[in-house]
Amino acid sequence: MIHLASHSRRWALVQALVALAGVAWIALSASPGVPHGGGPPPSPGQGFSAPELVLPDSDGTLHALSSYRGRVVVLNFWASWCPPCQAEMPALERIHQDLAASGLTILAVNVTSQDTRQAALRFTEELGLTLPVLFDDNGSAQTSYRIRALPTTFFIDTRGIIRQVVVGGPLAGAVIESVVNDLLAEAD
Amino acid sequence: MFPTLQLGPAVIQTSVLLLLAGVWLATGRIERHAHMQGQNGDRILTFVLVVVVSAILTGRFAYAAQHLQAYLANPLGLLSPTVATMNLEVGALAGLSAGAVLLRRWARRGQPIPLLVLLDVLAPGMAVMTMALSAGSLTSGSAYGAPARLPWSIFLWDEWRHPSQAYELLAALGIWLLIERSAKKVPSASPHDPAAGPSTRAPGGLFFTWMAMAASARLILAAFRGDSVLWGGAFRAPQVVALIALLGALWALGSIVQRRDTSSATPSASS
Repeated sequence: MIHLASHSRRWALVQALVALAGVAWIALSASPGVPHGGGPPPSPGQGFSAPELVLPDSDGTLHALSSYRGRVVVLNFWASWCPPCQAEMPALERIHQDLAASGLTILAVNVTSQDTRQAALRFTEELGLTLPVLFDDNGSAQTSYRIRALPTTFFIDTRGIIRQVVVGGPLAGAVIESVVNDLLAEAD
Repeated sequence: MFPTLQLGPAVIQTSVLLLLAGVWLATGRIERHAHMQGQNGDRILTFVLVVVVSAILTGRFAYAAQHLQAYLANPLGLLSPTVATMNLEVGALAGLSAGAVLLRRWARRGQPIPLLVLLDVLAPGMAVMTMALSAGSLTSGSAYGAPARLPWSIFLWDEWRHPSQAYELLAALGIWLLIERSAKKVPSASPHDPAAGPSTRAPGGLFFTWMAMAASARLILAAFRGDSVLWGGAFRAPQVVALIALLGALWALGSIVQRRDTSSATPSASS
């Protein structure tokens, strides 16, 4: 019994030492370097600021991503030859029409360096798209957003921070709408 | 980083492939350890399946219920393989509840699986799944490290960073090897099972050893992560949770050892 009692005391001591060491390590590794307050640096990953892009639409009007700060932005990279991109575009258009007045902007960025403007315009006319379609002629947006597969969709909050990245598709309308609604609710 | 595989029109996320490989490997390990402890591997895997499927379905339905209008307009969205559209807390609660109901039902039928024995059987599988998740983070670039200029830093998300995913993968590999080694010493529930090793551990010891090691690894390595949620503006939430889990595991290990020593001391005292 004496042996058991001393074992129990030793074990309690071990736990106390571990607790102390753990608290000390947490305090030592507390990092003001982890981004907060000033905002994370720009990078195309979840939790980072969305890198700036300035692209023309079919009229030649330039759209800067930063000009949509204060709105929830869905940035969708697509090509006219990509079947999943084609499949999810009607849902994006419907949500654009439903929620644009509530503070949502959907930017459909055509990867024109891997497509043609004619094919992209034909596709947008067939669907009667009213959401802004931008053309990445020289692939600069694809490079800065490191697009490796199509479609790729970025959900960006009102502060310009990427909150979700979805590679592949087609994304169901309900999925897009639910993520967007959460971001819009946060902004209220 | 190698986040996706493009196979014709299909885009497959590498992390998902690794996760599936992890499930396959973990299943094999669980079956083997169930056999080593004289348990029915099929029943243990049924338990795992019930817990996982209940968690996924309930998590998805709970999320859909929160966004009812969107899903009523497009019910097929329920089938979308997007982890972001899950209510993880509700899913976890539902999975655990379903597992508890199943264990209780088996106990009523006279085929009980003691909880501590079950946890021991699951421990090697959990170690494998931790490895698969770490490998998935390594390929996708998620769970990235804090900025650092070291000889072994990697350039990721526009900065030189700690290769935190590699740290976590190595730690998970080490823990898995230790758990596999320790598992050979777990006592068999069936005393006549020739596959069982010497009984140097009490039931539950293996699981809480894994939990203590995994929590220690998280406590130490979260310090090098660049994506931690902060509490109080500075303290990394995963470290706080890991410390609580570590202390809980140590307490459980202490109780298990004390119970084993008490039960082994009682007969000798009476004799």
